[in-house]
Amino acid sequence: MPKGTDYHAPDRLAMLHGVYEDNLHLGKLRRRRQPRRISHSRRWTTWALLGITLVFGPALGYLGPSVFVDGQETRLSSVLQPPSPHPEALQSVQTVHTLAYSPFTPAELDFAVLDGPEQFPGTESESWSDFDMLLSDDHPALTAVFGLDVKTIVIDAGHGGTDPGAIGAQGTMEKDIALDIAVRLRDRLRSVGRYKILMTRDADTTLRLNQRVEFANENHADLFISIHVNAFPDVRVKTIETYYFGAPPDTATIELAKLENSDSHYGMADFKTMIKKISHTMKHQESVALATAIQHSLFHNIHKLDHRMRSFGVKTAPFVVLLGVDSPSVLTEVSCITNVDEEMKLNTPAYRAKIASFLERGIHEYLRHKPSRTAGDNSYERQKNG
Amino acid sequence: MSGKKMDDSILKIGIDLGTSRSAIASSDEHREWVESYVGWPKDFIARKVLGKPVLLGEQALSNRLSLDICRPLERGVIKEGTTRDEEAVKELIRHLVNLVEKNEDRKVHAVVGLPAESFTANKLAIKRAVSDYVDSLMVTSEPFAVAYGQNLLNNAMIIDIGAGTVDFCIMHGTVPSEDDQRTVFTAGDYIDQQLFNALSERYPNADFNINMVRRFKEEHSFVGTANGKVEVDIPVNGKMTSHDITEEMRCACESIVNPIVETTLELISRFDPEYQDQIMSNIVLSGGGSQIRGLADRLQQSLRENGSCHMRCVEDTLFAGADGALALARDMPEEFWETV
Repeated sequence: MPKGTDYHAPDRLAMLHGVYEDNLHLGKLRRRRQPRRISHSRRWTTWALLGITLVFGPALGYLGPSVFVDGQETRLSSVLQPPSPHPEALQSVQTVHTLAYSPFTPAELDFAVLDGPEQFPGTESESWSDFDMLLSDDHPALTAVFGLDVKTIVIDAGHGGTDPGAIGAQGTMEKDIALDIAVRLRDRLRSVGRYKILMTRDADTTLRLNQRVEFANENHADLFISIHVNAFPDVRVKTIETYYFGAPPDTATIELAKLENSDSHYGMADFKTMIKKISHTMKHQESVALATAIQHSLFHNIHKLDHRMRSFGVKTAPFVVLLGVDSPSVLTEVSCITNVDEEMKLNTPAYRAKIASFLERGIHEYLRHKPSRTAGDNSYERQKNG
Repeated sequence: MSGKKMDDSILKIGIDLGTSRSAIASSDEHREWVESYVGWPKDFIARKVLGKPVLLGEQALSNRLSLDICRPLERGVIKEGTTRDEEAVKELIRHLVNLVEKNEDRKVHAVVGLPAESFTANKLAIKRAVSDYVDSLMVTSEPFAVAYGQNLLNNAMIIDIGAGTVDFCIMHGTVPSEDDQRTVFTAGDYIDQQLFNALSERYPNADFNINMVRRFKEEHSFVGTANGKVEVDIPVNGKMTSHDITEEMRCACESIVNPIVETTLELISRFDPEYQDQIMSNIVLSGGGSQIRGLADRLQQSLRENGSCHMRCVEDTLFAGADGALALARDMPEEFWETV
């Protein structure tokens, strides 16, 4: 330790206070994340009451039953009733956040006990279809309503084996870059310790798209993230974009989807079954949010390093991997291998490590906001894209 | 040293939890370190032979064939987040605290240094692991702890080159924010893997493992010009044979230079342009990796392509983190401990 140090200089005290505040914040986090448990018998009661309320609630004139998860209250009325112009009703939407720390996955869905009706101003004269409300975009995301948590994340490194993906001018192959970033992302997420992280491939192996989809579904993925590197005829283009499943907005996206889907190995019958999943509201809501968070983190951070980087934003595209996987799923094009500058950077471990860390930040950002998000939270999306 | 009157009923400790080595420094002027390995006997026979339920550090390494051995702090954070790794970190902490504290009646207040970009979940996991053995605890970033201990509080940059991570931190008179810090993983373990791969390719018949490669690196690492040949003994078909690994060693060690230079420049370029020169002239290397022969000169030379640069290494790389954490623990006002 250096001699003669003045440990009582004012800036030292400010620093000590800063360290103290950081730790105080950590302490608060720890207290908030205490796991909650609900007894098995309460679960069945809960389900029965929830079912009755969803079907008969409006007819019986239930305007605002409350929901409890281990003593924390939320208003089911905020889900069942149309939005109220009154701030009191808006507050009830916010209390749904308390469900977000539920430690259960969709498969273990635990819900709550309902108590008596409660009046909310401005709601009694309006009629609303029950499930329509749950599935609409103006209400809390279903994962928040049902307190669903993420336990398994599947990372898919695009292409591989005999399929090199896009190839840069210096011979860099998309399959290698995608795999390296995927492995780094896996290691980073694993070190968090909260999630089971799986990879569709962890070596240079050929894997068809349907095998990737089956792998994710068989392993009950809660999130699916497919990593790719873009290619453009115009070598000056350097951009980042992230997709979730949906109708393509432009012909360029259709062309990209054709390329990425070229090895799907799905038949028409399979495809029809998969198309039905488009109505899977929860998957859609969560995919949008995940894509938004990842795109924001990638672009925001890479743009700081390189101001020439452009964002093509969050887009919809009919990629087979995004359609077939049951869970919220996104495909991210983390860079452009056809841009010489980007290709050179992609060949440095430091840049690939950064991309993996930005992807990780995006995923954490998504998981942090998951509790408080409403299903069609456009303001969040706009803010992130902005 | 703090001019504050020390409370003898409380022992202050600073801990640097490292991937490869963990160090502790106490207000009683004790300093100890241990290799960050923990091992449990594989079966009851091993338990009987070894005579201990758990072995740590060098003891664990030398008896590794009888042990389920674990290096729990991969990349500077609790690996995988499994119960076993958390248990291993607990054992490490228990061992370190016992090395410096024999008086069980005293309270222990600890500051633990962690990699700069540790996520909240990791900080919480480390806190859980440490909290059983101390009465009050704070965690902080490793390079910040080093900076604090070295009195590098303003217009300076710390680059802490460890086994699992290289941590960067710019100091500008306040607690560094997330934007002032970076962590990259091209650190000591990365060099080991590069060297292992290169040697496997060049000497396919040689029989070696990653632990041996790590030892080769610790004895012979260098960048730039070699001081003669680097020759090591490696068994081939059971017979010890001398192998020249000079070029492989150079390439493996040099593989971390570019990532460090790039990250340094990236971090500094985001800082207020008026102060960038001052920071470039005050870069301090710490951590075991800073001992790679020629590394500081090479980094300085690369950075000078972008302007003037002065780089030096801390004197005591093994204890710089623990000493810094101890300095924080010593100076932390008592009311802060109580509230946390």
